Amino acid sequence: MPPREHPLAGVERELKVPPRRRLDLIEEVEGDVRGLQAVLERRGHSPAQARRVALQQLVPGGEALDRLEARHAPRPRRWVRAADWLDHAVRVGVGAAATLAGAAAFTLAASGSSGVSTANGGAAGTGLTAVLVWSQVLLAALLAANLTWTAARLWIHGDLRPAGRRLLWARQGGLIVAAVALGALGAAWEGYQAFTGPGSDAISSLSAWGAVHEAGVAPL
Amino acid sequence: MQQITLSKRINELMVLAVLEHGPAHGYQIALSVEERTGGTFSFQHGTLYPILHRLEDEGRVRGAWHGEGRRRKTYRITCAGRAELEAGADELERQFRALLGLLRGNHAAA
Repeated sequence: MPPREHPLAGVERELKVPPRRRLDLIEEVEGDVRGLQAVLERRGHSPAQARRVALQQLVPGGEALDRLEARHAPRPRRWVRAADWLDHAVRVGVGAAATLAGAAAFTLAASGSSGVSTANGGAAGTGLTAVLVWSQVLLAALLAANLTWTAARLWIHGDLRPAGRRLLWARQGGLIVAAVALGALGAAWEGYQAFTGPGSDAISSLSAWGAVHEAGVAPL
Repeated sequence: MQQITLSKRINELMVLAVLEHGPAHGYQIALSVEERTGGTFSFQHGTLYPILHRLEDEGRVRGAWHGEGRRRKTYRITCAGRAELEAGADELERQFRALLGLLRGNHAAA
């Protein structure tokens, strides 16, 4: 049999107001439930019956939660609630803005590096470099979208719930690992191009030793 | 004043009427309303709290936390709340007289 949920767990989960407000309300309701239960017990109710009546009377249900949320939610959240279609528009807008911002920033940054690879690596090199660059663009856009989603939730709800926090860090961690792996792959490819492509003679071991002697470093 | 429904108005005035007799916790207000109206009115499923918080935001009641560790919240009526109660009771009386006059066909009552 699954463990029974705390009577106020629903309030904690459902009520989208800043954490301080939510905790205050839960503390207030919990104190009142205990008080009413004590009164009912003194009047002859059994403890279980008294608790059930107190919970039924005092724990906010759907309508009360809606009204509490309408009163205590941050202003942007109240504004979004007032026009329910805005919720979807905000989500789509956040996603689109973050994707475009990420793509634009990384396309600018990547335009330089793809030019160098074209000079060194030929057609095959250009193809692989482009794939790597665009993968990084996509990753950057997803990272930006994830952070923007978080910022929007904080702005609209005034809070990031535990589930939201877990999702944020899971996504962020996954994307960072993917970005590092792609970066390593890109670096390995650039290194390979430098040593095997046209002009790689300039980086032969002999010339490397020459550079070491010129720098005055004693050989081992 | 913001437009509210008659039932919300009645609920607010009932809370103010209970607090007129002295500070009380939320559950004491709920219990008192039920007892003093002979069970005709009662707050269920936490509907009391949005009313209390609304009155508190509007300055008609003042909430204060007491105690260490497990705190309890107590509400007391303010001067604005007393004025609101008096005006609201008069207004409700006029409205119900008019309504009853209509329902019972006794136009003189209005």
